[in-house]
Amino acid sequence: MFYISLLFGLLFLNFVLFHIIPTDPARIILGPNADNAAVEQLHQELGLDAPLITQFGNYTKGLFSLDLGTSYSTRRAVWPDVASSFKITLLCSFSALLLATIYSLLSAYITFISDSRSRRVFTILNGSLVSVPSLVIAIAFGLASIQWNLLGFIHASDTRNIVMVILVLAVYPSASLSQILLEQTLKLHQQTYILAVKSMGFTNSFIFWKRLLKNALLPWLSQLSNIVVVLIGGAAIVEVVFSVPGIGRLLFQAVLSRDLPVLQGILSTVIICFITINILVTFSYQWLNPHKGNARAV
Amino acid sequence: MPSRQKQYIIAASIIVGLWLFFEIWPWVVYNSPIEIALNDRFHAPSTSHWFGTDNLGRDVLSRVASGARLSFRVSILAWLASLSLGLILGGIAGYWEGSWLDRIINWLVSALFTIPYLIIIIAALSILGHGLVKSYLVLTFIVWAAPARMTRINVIKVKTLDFVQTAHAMGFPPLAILKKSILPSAIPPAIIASVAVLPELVALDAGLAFFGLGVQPPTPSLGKMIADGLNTISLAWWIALVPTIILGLICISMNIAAKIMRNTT
Repeated sequence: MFYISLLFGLLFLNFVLFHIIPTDPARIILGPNADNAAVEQLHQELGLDAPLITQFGNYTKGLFSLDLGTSYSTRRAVWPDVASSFKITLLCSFSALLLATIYSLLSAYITFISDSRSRRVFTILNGSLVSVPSLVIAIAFGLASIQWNLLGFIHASDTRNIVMVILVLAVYPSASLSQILLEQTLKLHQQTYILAVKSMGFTNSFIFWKRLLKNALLPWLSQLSNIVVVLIGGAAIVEVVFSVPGIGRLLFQAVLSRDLPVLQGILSTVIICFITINILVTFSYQWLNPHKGNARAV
Repeated sequence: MPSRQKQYIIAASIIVGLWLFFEIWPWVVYNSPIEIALNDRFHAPSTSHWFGTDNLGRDVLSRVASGARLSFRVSILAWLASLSLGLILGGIAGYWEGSWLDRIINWLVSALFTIPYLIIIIAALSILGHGLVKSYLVLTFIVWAAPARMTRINVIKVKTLDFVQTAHAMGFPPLAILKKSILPSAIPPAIIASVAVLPELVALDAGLAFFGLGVQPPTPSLGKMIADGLNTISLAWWIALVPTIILGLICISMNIAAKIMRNTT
């Protein structure tokens, strides 16, 4: 229920934001010296002379039929551009999340079966990596790749750059998720039910994967939904650094050319995608722990 | 690994040291951060220019110093503003728990915790126009959620205690009770909850400047320097690297200090 109200609130905000602009979109397209007749005509073409209610109707109708208008600068339909670049961003983000998941599970497993020294190493590593801004990590990776000619950097946009983006994006989620999971493993390690299974003589790996993990995953999952928020924002910056044609670069270009339909299209897509991810996380929460019920949906 | 206290002291002294250095630096050695000197383009780091010069011959250290100084000052202002906004709204929501006001504020707080705000800020700023003041106003309205949530919880906890009930019985108006009796005990936890906002503000500010939406040139800023340095990175690595290192240093030490503060209380 919260997510549905949030969805409509955000879409409404998105609409309002683009209609309280001090500048006239027709003026942006035609330039400051255009005569009034041409501006009026463009208003009619863009449907800007209709009352706001009708415009909002058109906007929602457009959302459902995937018609997000045409770009001011390239004169192409917005949706195909947004869709193709969003695919790349989603690919990068999900690969990064996958890497982070593997890393956090492995680090928790290693600390569970070995001594406290490996735990310390992971704690220091996670603690320092979790607080570095994605911009800084991106530049560090970029400089390293130039130094050793590892990957195509600024001017070549190929798959090697996408790999780079995935690696950079994976750093923060890995550290953060691993931190949570390590904490949980340590806490659950001392619980009596784990001790009981241990005294029955089961192996460490059986205890970890079959008995401990599902309980440890609850806070991990709520952190995951927080991370998705940070991840897409970070992806915007990292994509620009490595010139990967994702949503961030599209956003960057739209900002530079003040291309309002593209901006609006990006925002609507990101909003809808987010709400979907959050709803999915809520459902998997209930699957992991049926007792929680609907507690997280506020 | 040094003890918590030592870590805290190290992190705090890095922050304070950097800030003091950036404040004092222009008084010690004056290299104009904005004046263009085309004869001195792309000087590698040397004794006269510690961190080299950029593509227009400006001293990188001076630019980093003035950019980071501005970032520090404005981030702290925005932090204080968001803290007071969070205290007021969180206090109101907690005091009238369950009312429509509380519901609206609570909805806003939950919304701010779930939305991908960087993209929304970027879009909002490119529509509303750029600039330092506007970008920090938008940032302030985004980050008040953390102190507001903390304040609300604490107000709900405190308001059932005896001394508050006594104040009610003595007939004080609700706002006076909220201000004089309840909020004082809710302020310290709210401050601790919102300290973590500071590194986020610095990083967000750099991100916005990177997109060309924060501080406008010629005023230097860390994010814009990184963006410009990227264009000439194969020619002169120091232009992008120095602001990156400083940004990373500030954010890491602020985060560590904030985390230790949160964990020890």
